[in-house]
Amino acid sequence: MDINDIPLELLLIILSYIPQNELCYTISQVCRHWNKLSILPDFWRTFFYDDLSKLPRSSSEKYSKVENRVAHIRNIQTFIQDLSINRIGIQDIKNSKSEIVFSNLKHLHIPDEINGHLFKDVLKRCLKLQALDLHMYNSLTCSFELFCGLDLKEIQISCLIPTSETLANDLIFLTETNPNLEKLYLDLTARNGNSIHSIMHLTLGDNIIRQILMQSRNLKTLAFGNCSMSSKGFTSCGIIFGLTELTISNCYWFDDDGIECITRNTKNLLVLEILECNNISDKGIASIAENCPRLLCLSIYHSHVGVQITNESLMAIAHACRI
Amino acid sequence: MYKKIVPQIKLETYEKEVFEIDLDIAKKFGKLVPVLQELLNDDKPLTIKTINSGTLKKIITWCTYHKDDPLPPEDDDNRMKHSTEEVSSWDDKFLQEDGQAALFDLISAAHTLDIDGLLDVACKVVATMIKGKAPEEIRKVFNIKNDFTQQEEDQVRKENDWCED
Repeated sequence: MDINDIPLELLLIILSYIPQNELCYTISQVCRHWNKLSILPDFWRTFFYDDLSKLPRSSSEKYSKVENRVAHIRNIQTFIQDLSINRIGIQDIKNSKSEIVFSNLKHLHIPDEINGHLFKDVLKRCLKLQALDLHMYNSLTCSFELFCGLDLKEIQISCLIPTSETLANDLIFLTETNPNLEKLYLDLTARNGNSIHSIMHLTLGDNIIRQILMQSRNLKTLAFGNCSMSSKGFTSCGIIFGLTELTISNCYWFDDDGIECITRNTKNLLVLEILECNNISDKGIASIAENCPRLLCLSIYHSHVGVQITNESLMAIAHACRI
Repeated sequence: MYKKIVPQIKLETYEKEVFEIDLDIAKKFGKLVPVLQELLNDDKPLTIKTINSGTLKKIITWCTYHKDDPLPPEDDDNRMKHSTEEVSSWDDKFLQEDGQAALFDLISAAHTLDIDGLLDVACKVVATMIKGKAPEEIRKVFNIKNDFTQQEEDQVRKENDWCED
């Protein structure tokens, strides 16, 4: 038996292990059959624009022709459900003569720093977008207005913002315009002055947390990184039944009372992570045991935190939760 | 004296040779396991005409070697993603030592018997043979006929001309 005799489904499994750039540049040239297979939807549901630059040197020189890159995207645009795109990719699409629309795109990743207007141009082409991941380290390019009216289910933002002054309004605006949000991951850092190295610790006030929670009743996953918060925001917003995963990291003031408030108001937590918060003791652990019977995964980490937690409280968790 | 009786199943190959396989090895055979369990007490072997004896021997060796591996997660979505997981050197050598024809026999048999782990590593090994090669090299290695007309070939090459030197 050889490769020409094996059933189609087996050949497809083999080709699924070929990197996308080779599928498009090499596999397509082998024979008619392979040419047709090389643009099958299954191979292109997930598309990393960056991969196009991982060609051998001689290839990438010729590949620098914009029209060829765009032609390829035109071939696969309707298949893409998960797209990771960089600045060059966005430029290509913006400058293409024919209209490119990602009609089935659900998840967009932007790992690069993208200027606001370019970014908006891409969002316009994604008709069914549900999730957005952004990583921006040039504070000037990030504006929360971009998220307005997209009705996303998942938002992940890691960014450096110019000042913390407007943060409260921005976050409230963000959740207000995306009421069906199920997953929110925020990793925000504010720049202190003009130096990129001088970074300010952000504080999210209780009223902001409360507003976010009140506006996003469908939240399932919530993660705050690098922003301090206390826990009182969780107290007066009612029980959030849907919330199953919660991560809080780098909150210096977060203590046992915080854990108690949170666990009381989120009865269905499956995953709880409290990282780099050093004021946790047995009392907090006890409230986890008391309030989170469904918990499957618990991480509490800080280099000093172990001192205040005894084996007895951990035993209580072991008995009460399903971990 | 007590002698442990290992339940065995009987498989008959294309050459009408009958193999007795321990059930704990045959548990790798995915969807076939319930069928095989029903045949446990049967004296009549299960005939699988599409598999030859050499291939079945290799399959038994592979399943024995990997008998204690953890079961892969049942996640069909991952099938089409190109995994970065490496093929172990034992698998690589074992799969390639009998040449290409035997490798494709093995892939086809692994598919028939629903042995996911074997199918995956074998397909990865073939993918490694394809990766990094020019179209002409791929045709040569796998004996694939270039059925493009000159005109079509020029067209495809034009669309992809950045990958030609």
